[in-house]
Amino acid sequence: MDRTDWHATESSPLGGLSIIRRLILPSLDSARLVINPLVSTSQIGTSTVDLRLGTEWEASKSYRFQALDPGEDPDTATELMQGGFDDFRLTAGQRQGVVLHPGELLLALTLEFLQLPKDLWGKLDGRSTWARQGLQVHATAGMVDAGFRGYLTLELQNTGRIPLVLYPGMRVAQMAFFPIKNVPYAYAKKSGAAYSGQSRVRSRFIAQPEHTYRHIYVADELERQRLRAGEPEL
Amino acid sequence: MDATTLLFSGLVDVRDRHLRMLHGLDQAKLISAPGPRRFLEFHRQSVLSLLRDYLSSLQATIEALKVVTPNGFDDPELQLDLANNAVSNFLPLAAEHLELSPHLPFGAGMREDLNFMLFRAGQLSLLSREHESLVSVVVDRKLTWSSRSQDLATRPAVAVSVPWVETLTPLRWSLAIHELGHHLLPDGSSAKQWIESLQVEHEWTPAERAAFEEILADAIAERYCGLSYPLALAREGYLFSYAQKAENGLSVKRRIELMESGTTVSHLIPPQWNLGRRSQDDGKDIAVVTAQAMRRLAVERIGPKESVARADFIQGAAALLALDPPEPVAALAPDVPADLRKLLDDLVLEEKPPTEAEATELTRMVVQAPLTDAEILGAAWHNEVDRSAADYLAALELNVDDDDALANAQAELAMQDTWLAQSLQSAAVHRWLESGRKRIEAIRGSN
Repeated sequence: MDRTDWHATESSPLGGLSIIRRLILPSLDSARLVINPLVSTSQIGTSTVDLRLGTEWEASKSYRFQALDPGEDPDTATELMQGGFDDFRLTAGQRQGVVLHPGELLLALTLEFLQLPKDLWGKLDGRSTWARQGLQVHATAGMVDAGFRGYLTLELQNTGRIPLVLYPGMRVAQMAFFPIKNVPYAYAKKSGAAYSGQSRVRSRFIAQPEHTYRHIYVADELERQRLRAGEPEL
Repeated sequence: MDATTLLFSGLVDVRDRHLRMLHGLDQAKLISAPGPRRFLEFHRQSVLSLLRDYLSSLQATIEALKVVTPNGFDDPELQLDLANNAVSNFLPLAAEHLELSPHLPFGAGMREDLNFMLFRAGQLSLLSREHESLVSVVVDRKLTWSSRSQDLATRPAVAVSVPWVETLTPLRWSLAIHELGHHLLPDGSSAKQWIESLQVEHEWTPAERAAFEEILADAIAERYCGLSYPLALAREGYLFSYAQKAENGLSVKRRIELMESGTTVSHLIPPQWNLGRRSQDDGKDIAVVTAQAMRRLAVERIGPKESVARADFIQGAAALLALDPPEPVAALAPDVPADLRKLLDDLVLEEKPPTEAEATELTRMVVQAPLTDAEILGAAWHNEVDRSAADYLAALELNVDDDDALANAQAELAMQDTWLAQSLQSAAVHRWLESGRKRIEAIRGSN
């Protein structure tokens, strides 16, 4: 069948049958959607696919931070980010899970490896069962660009009042897929695409141009002040 | 895959061991205090210098090889030069590993993954407090793998020593399972006690007993990891041939030949790797018949293979690891029956909702059977050893003074390693969920 024919049949959001068809395409087909592992039929909804908690987690050592200041010298900020987090692993069948206390933020990778073709983008959200217990799975970063490849990082937060115990394999999130046309480049090519191909949960502090501008501005201003004070040029 | 590509993959492996060490040092620097960071930077420069020396020392031979055999790269003498070059350049790296280790702040992440894998291989339960105390991973300063155990009341507690840089490389974690197999049988009982009783029964000499210990541990590692184990052993055997002990009674070559999947590998091993040598003293292997009888004893005791690596699943694992899938190229998804595919196409084109039965059947198509660790490791090893000689030679042309090229090569390897670790973990959770589902179905069925 001509691939363009059935792309035209995909409405927005992508319906369950179209998701299934995308999932079973051969591995070298550019329109193929990869979600692996898909453990059970219950993960496939009418317009969404459920995602599970994975095995890699990260928690911030908040005691190390006064504040996270993007205007800080990029090297210092990166160093602080790298040293300011604990990453740890869980696996299947462990005695203990992770306790997510009210108000706390934990990062966890999804169990699933995702690869979105260039003509699909995704919207991550929570599942209502867990939402009713106060579990949020992303903190305003729920969009997944066309062409993304890797494990997704869930930004788990407990907004309820009761601590929640979490284990790998739990279905806590869902993703809807939407077709998109005429994408000139995939996510990996986006300037500052920090998480394409990610497989570690670790937060990255990429020195974005806006942050660098501020840093240059501050350094410049200090130099001006020094010169005004009659000190020699550095 | 043939002897030439295996030999060239070994040359790239030595390059990659340098690169992995550089990456590990970069990561360690980020979480180190300023003092240790200075030392780590010093060692980073040393490793970089060793890598530069290694690659430049290979170049002259590679150029000669291109002239002598431009298509096949199979001149035995020049290949021997290359193999010797790799071994002699590996030794300073091992010394550097020893020197830098005290300055490392050990991250726990990858070690936890390895620990979990040992639990899976040893069929230990993470719900059991007793089991939790049975296996531990110790990060070693040396680049060799070793283990020790203490016999407790019912079973031994085992500490597996893994070189620091190898904790970052799941590709060779099958060697840790071999170490575990020296102490713990798959049913959880003590290997040492069983071996002692056999030694008395068969009146083995110390060399024969040592040979049996290796054969048993090999069988246990192969049972869990499949083909990836003899491949890892061959690589390790060639790089560490200088350090082989005379008293173990078996060459690495003979050990590989004894394994079921090793028969494939043994035909491919480049003679330049010299795996038939038992030691620098060149002692003799124990008799083939004795070794084969020992292998039968070991296999009988540990039982049939736990996981048979399925070819189409290895292809699926390769796609998951974002590697070039082995030939023939296959879909990651299960083989979808033609009638179901047609039904799906018709429903989508006609925008018709499926019936409930059709929906169930269609959804079932996308559910995947879980991959085993052997299949995932198999896919990773396939990518490691089954490329063209020209590909390997291109990798050896890395210019370490080009910062971007060096950073890209490091990042690519780090990505492969982390995806491999992550895939092993994800598949373990998948298998666990699948076994839970089957258990529930069985309970419902019996009611």
